[in-house]
Amino acid sequence: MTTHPAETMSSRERVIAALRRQPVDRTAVCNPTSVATVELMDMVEAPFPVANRDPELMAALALTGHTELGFDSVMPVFSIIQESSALGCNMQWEQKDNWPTVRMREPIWKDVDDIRIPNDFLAHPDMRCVTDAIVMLRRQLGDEVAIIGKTMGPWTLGYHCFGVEPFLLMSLDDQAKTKLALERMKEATILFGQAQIDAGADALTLPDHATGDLVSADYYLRYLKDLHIEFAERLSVPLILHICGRTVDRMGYIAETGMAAFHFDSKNKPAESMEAVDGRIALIGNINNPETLFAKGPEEVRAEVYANLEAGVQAIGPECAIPLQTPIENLTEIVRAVRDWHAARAH
Amino acid sequence: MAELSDIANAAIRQEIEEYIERPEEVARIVEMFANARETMQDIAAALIEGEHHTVDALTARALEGGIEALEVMDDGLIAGMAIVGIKFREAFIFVPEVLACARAMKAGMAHIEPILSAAGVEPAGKVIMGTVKGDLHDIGKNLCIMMLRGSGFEVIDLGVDTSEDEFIEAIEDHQAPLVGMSALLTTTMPNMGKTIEAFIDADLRDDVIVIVGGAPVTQEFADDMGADGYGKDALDCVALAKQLIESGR
Amino acid sequence: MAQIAELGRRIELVSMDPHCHDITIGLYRDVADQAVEFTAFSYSRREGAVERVGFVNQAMKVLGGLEASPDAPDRLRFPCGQDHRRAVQRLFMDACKIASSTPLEPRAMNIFDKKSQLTMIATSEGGGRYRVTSDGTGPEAERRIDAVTRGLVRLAELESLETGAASFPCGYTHDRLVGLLLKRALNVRVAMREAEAAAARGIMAAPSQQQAP
Repeated sequence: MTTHPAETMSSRERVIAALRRQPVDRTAVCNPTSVATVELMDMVEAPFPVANRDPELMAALALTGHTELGFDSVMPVFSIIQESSALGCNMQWEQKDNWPTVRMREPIWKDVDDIRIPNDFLAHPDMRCVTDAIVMLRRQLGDEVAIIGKTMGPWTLGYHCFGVEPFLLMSLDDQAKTKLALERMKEATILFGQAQIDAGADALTLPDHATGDLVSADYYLRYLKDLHIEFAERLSVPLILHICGRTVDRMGYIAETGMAAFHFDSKNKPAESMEAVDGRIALIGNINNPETLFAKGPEEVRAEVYANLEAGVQAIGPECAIPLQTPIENLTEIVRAVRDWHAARAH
Repeated sequence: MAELSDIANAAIRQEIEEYIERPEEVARIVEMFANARETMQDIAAALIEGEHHTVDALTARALEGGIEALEVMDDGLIAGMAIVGIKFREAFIFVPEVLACARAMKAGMAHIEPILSAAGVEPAGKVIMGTVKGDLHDIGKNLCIMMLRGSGFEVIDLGVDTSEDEFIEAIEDHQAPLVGMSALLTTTMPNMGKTIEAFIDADLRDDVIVIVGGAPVTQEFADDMGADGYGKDALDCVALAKQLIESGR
Repeated sequence: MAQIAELGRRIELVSMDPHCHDITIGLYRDVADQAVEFTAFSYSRREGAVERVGFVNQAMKVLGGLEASPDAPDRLRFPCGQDHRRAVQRLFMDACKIASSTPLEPRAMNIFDKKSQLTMIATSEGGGRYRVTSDGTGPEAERRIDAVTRGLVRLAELESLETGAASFPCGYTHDRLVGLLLKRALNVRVAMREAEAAAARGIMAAPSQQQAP
């Protein structure tokens, strides 16, 4: 039986230290994105979609990430639609085993002059749900566990509010207009981020889906890098940038933004990613979701955890919001594997 | 055997030299363009640049000049998209550029489709396409649909967020032998398996060939879900559709 | 405070059971006394959840021939103690599709095949061996017998014997399981693809037509 060395830090201390690339007692296990599953929903009677709209249920479900799975963080913003809902997008709330989505085929904005952030943006029920849930979690968890909030970046808001195809075509047809659009939308990112910090969040995930599966690294440089630098300056907690897909070609730029960490996808190998960022930003990831966590078993999960640890990745977690049907034992294996890896090196 | 110098349009020659690396693809594309009229090459070159107004004008002019609609579609539009597909596959261009090219193709097809419909051209096959339940992304699906239609398939587009029942209803209504499912999110990919399961429950599974695709989808995942085929991009989707329809499986 | 149940590895999931408040029910696999055991389980504490899981267990017994483990009535095992993984996954999913008010009885070992308009019959020959026949003759009947047999091979991970015959590797009789799987065996496309591949063996296929190993 493996003897694990005593842990000298609280989960919260561990996550914050990891985000600051400071020494830790063991590698943090962290979820910048959702680890909600249908079984965890049953456990605390907090099913989707209502767990995305009721703060008590949101907090209860988020809490299971720590109490059941053993992660060092909780992250209550399971989906990516709160801001879009508050901005007036048409929503599809779906059911227990499907994610709520924005009807991007029914965009609410056509031109830059249509962009408007309502005065009562933060008071929208779906926004308040998040901030209220964070207040509840802070009260419940005290200083023990890290609370990670989430605020969507302007590129993703552009997809939601303009529609993906129109937004991408605009980015090609009219660079100035696109930059203006991003400039106007970024205020939503900052407002919601600040509100979550005020509510008690220790860090914020900032998804901004300029993924390599859709756009070039040059696009990141042209449209987003400066904005991300600004976010890192204006939001006072560590920021975790999240971009899905193949991104190693832009990790060098991302590493220069001043953000604390980059949450990276399994399409990028841990070692090549660490090389690309070269110590300038922490990495969090990158356990594969659809093939490993969803479809395979603990042994395969462990192998991916070890690959990340061996590469020196600062915090381990799933690569993105996990499929809602993911088996619990695969998620708890992440924590077990991290502990065992450290235990083996302590002896 | 045709050579690069046999291609009149300088922009096309440059595209081939700069972006097509696989020898068999070079040979095939050179052959294709060398045998095409210069006006067709011009259409293709404009499509590759995403110049939809130019494609619109050149297509209209070619048809008015008496060139057959099928020739314009094959040698101008589809030929151009073939190069676009390769550039996208090799990550020389990304989705915004492909969307611009697709927009250009659509501009050309707006002149071609009415002519082909009126002529009663036999479709290469019938395909039902949809993005799975819970997924509202459709870029990949739309690209595939455009390429499929361009390749002569009749496509029934179910749109996004397509439920199992909607797929089943479409199969029953249209008697289409081929069903294409797309997912752009890792969280919605499992719905592909659920949809195939629903086909089994409805006793339909044996009546259709199911192909899947989308950025996060892999061959391994497609096999696990019980799909018949996996297309890694729009070009692959069309090639696979043709192959599966021809082989009847 | 942790409520995670130690049930082994989850091998199947019904994420929303429409017959009981959309609860989630998982099927877990473990090994006890060298026998493979299965547990249907839900984390839901909603009213009716316990009874619903109980019904699913009962359905798996009646439809698939599972028996309660001697030491734990909620854990089920095949009389042979073996895994039969693919079959039990199918059994679980089918059990969850049945409303709790439905009377349970084993499926017959024959089924009407609409493709051939014949009745396909599965007969146990003992020792886990099964033969598929039909109430008709001729090439179409033979083709369908072959397809259905291959379907059963695929669905229950059987060993193929001569045409129209297959056997469970464990050597035990599993009549109820065969009766359950017969309906799906009519439609297993991958089984037909394998039949074509077997027929084409020795003929070089184009790279695009070759399956990945």
